[in-house]
Amino acid sequence: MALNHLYFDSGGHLTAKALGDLASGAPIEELARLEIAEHLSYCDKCIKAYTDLLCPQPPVDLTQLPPAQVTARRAAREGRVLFLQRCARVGFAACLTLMVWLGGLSQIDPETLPKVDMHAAGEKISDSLADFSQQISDGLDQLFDFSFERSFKS
Amino acid sequence: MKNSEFSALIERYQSFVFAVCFQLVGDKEEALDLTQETFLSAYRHIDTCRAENYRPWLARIAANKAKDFLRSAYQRRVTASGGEALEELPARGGPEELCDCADGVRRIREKIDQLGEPYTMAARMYFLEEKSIEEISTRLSRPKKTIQTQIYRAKQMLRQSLKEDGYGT
Repeated sequence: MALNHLYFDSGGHLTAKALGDLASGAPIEELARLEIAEHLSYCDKCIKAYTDLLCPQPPVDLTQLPPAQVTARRAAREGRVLFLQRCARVGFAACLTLMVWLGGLSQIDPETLPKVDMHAAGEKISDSLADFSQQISDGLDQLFDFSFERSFKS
Repeated sequence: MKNSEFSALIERYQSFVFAVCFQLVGDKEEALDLTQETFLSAYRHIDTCRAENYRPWLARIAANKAKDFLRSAYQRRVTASGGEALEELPARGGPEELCDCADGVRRIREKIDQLGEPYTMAARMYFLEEKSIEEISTRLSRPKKTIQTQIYRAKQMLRQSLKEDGYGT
């Protein structure tokens, strides 16, 4: 049986020992760390207690993290790609709907149509949309990187 | 939020987020990756959080990232060592069978109490009270996926314990 009763109280919350061991970097076995992470991912009370313990400066030597500007730029780029992909999908769906409606395709008997692998066709369309929005994002990146660097230099 | 403001936020909290990730996963390289992923996720939802709550909010995202990493690593290790994957657990031949007789119920109750939290309450509701995952999730205020995982681990531990006592295969 897992010896996790030291880390969880009878109400299922983290004990002071659990928070203390975690915050001080004491060795904790893999399953216990997973259980603690699972609990912290949804419990407001325990996450607050844990973050309070880490004030003011956590006891970890911080090296090798990339500059904040690099992370911020990457986050902005990924956000743009997601947004453009969403727009492209919505636009494509709207065009398809208009085509069906205006072209009278809804009145055609489906039994008379040739068989098409819809799954493969859908994947091909998704890949093309992803490439398209990536190209637009790359173009925007060049524009934003130029203005980003200018704003940092000024 | 402007890029420059988000950069300032990263500068202010990155050591804190790294500390959370490192303390949970125990590996520096993984903690660096998870720190990045935490801020990438935070960027997408930054407008949903008030400035005074950034610290616990970022810690929650970091804990989620660490949880996903640890869960995946643990699952790979369990199945690699001959354990059953969550999806492959057989429907029969487990602790549920013992719940059909009074002595079995008593034995299961003892074993469940020995599990300790965070498994005891969920296992009691599932095996003895026959509650659904959704009901347990609501009663214990835990996500459904967490309950499912906890029931799975409880089942494994109970099965092992019963096997040691000479029950089942």
